[in-house]
Amino acid sequence: MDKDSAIKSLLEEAAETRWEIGQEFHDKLSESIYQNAAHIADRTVIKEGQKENFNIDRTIDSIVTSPIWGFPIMFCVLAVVLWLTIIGSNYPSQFLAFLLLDNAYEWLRAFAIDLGTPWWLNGFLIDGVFLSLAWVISVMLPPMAIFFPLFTILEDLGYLPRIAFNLDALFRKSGAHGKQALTMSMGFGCNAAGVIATRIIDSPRERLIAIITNNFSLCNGRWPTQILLGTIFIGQMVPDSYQSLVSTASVIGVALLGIGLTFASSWALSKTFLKGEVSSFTLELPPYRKPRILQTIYTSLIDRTLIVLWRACVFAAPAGAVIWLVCNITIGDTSIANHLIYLMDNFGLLIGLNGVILLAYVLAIPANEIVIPTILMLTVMTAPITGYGSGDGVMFELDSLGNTHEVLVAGGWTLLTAINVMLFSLIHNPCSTTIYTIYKETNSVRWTTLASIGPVILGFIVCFVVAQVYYML
Amino acid sequence: MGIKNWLNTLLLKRVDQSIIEEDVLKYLYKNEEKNKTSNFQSINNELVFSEEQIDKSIQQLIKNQSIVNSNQSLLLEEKGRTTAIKLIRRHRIYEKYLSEKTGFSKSSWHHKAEEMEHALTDEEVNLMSKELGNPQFDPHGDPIPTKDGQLPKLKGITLSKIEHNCTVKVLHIEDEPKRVYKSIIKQGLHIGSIMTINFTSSVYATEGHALNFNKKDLENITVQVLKEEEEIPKGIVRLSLLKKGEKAVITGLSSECRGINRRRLLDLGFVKGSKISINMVSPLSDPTAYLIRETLIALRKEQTDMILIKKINNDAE
Repeated sequence: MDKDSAIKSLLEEAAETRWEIGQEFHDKLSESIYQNAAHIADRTVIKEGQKENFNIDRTIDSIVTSPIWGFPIMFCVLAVVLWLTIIGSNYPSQFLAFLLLDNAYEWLRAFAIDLGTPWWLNGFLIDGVFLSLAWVISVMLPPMAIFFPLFTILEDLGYLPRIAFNLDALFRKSGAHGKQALTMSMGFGCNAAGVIATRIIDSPRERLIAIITNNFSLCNGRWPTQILLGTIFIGQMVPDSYQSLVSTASVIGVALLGIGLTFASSWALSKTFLKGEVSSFTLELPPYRKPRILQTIYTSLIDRTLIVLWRACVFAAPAGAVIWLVCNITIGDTSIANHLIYLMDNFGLLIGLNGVILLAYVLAIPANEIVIPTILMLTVMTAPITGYGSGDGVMFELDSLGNTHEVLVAGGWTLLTAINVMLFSLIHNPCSTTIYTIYKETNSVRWTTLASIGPVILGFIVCFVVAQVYYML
Repeated sequence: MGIKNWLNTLLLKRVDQSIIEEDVLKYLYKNEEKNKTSNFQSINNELVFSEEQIDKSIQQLIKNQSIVNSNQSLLLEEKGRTTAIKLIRRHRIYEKYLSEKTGFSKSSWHHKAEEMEHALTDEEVNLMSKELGNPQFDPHGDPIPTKDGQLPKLKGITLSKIEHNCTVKVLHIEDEPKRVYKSIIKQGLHIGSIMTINFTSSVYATEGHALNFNKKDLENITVQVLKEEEEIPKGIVRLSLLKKGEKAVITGLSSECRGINRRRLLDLGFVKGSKISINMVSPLSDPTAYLIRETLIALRKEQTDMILIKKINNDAE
C-alpha cells in the first residue's frame, strides 16, 4: 500500500471512530488529562509556604474587591498614574523640545545654509521631515516612558485583573469584557498600545469591541490639545479665581465623555456589526507577586514604548514632508494648502470648525501631537496676522498662552470653535499608527475601516449638532 | 416564512421559485411526520407566498414527480421526500454551526437557518458537518439526517403527555413558534438536563430550579422518561446556586454550553470531579471568583448556569 492511500484510510478510520465515540469525547479527554495531572502532582509536588501566601492573597483580595474600598482604591490608582504621567512628562518633554526643536533644529538650518543646499531641500528635509519627527518624539516619548512602566508594574503586581473583576458588570451591560477597563486605561497612554493590549481579551467579539472603541480613550497626543484649549478658551469665560478649576473640569469632562462613548459604542457594536462574533468569558485572577521593577521598566520600554514610538516616527516623517510640500507647492498663485482650506472652509464652518482645522486633521493623521502646531502654522499662513511663526510649512508652538489665543482668534476662532475642536479631537479617526496596529491585530480591512471611518462620521455629527445648538442660543 | 420573504411578497419582488417549492416539500414532509394530510388550502395557510406562487409550485412539483395529488390531498413521492430531508439536513447542520462557531443568540438561529437552507449546497453542508465532527443532533435536540438521507426519528414523548410523578431527561425543545420557544428558554431549561416532575406539588424542577410552564410550552418540550432501574443522578444543581462557604464537586457541563465556551471551561479545569468553592464576589455582584484546582477563575452568572455541581458536606472533608 502506498503512502497516500495509507493516509487516506487512516483519515477515514479517524472519521469513523469520531462518529462512534460521540460528542462527549472532548469532555472525557479533558477530564482524564486533569485526573492524570492531579495524580502526578499529588505524588511528586511538595507544597511549602503556600498556605500563608494564599491567605495573604485572600486578605488583599478582600480589600481591593470589597464593596466599600474596591472602587475608591481603583480610582486613586488610576488618578495617580495619570497625574504622574501628565505632570511628570512635562519636564522631560520641555527638555527634549529644547534639545531637538530649539537647538538641533537651528543648528541643522545653520549647517545647511553653510553647506549651500537649495532652499527647497532644506525646507523639505529640515522644516518638514526633521521638525515633525522632533515634535512627535518630544511630545510622545516622555509620557509613554512614564505611563507604560507604571502600568506594567501594576500588571506585574497582579492588581490589574482585580480591576477587570470589579468593573466587569458595567462592561457586561454594554456587551464588552471587564478586561476592556485595562485596554481602555492603556489607551489613555496611547491608542496603538491600547489596541495591542487587547490581546489579553481571549473572546473574539469582546476583543474586537475593545479594539474598535479604544480610540475613545483620550490618548497622550490629545491631552495637550485639550489642556491648551481648555485653558485659553473655556477657562477665560469665568473669573480668574475659577479659571483653573473650570479648565480642568472641561478637560476631565471630555475624557469622561470619551469613556461614555466607549460604553455606548461598545453596546451598539455588540448589537449590530459584531452580533455574530463568538463570545465567551473567563477571567483568571493570578496570585499577587512582588513586581520585578527593573525588568519591568526594561521590557515595557523595549516592548511598548520604543515599538510604538518607532511606528509613530515611521508615519510622522513623511507627514512632515507632506505638510511642508502642500504649503510650498503652488498651483496658480496660491499653495495647495490654501486651495484645500478654501475648499473645506464652508463645510468646516457648518460643523463649527473651519478649513484650517480640517486640513490640519487630515495632514496630522500620523500623529495627534502635531495637530496644534499645524493649526497654528496654517492659521498664520492664511489669517491677517504677522509676526508669528517662521514661514509656510514650518510648524511651531508658542510659549505664551496669550499669543496662542491671539493667533487663533485672528484665524476666526470663537468659543464654539474651541469646544468643537476639543470634541473633534476626542471623536475623530485614530492616528495612522493606531490604524496600522488595528489592521495588524484584526487582519481585516472591514474592521479597520469601521474603526477608522466610524469615529470621523460620529465626530462630524456631534460637532454639527453642537454648532447648530450654539447658533440657536 | 420570515420577514424577508414577507417583504419580498409585499414589494412584489420575484421570490426564487425553487425556494417556494422547497418550502412546500418541507411542509408536506413535516405534516407527514405528524400523520396529518395536506392540501392546497393548508399549505396556503402555512406559507406566506401568494396563491398563484403556491399553485405554480405545486403544479411544477407534480410535473417533476416529487408529489402526487390523490383524493384532494397532496402526498410526497420518494423524490420529494429526499429533497425535503436534504433541506432539513441543511437547516439543522447550519443551526449546529451557528451554535458552535458564532455568537448569534439562541433565538435567532432558526430564522437564519430558514434562509440559509435554500442557499447552501450539499457539498458546503457536508464540509460543515465534517468540521463540526459529524453531529447527530442539532442544538434544539432534533436529529440531523445523515449524508445518505437517513433521518432517525426523535425518541421520547412531549411533556404535556406526562401525567404521573417521574424523572425525565430533556431531549428536545421545539423552536417554532418563536414566541413559545422564547418563553421556554427564558425559564432556563437546558437540553440534556434531568427534570423531576411532581404532581402533588405541581412542580417541574431541574438542576435546583423550579420551572413554570404553560400548556403551549409543555407541548413543545420532548422528554424521555428515566426508569427507576437506570441510575438517576440525584442532588445535581447549577453552580449559580452555590453559596459562599459551601463546597461542591463538579459533575459536568450542560450540553447548552457550546463551542469555544465549553472548550475554555474544560481547559481551565471545569471537569467532572474538580472541587469548587466561592472565593469572592465582585462589588457589583457579578462576576464571582471561584477557587478551582488552586486557581482563581471569575465567571459570569450565565456561565455558572451551565456548570453542574453536587454540593458536599463540609464535615465530610
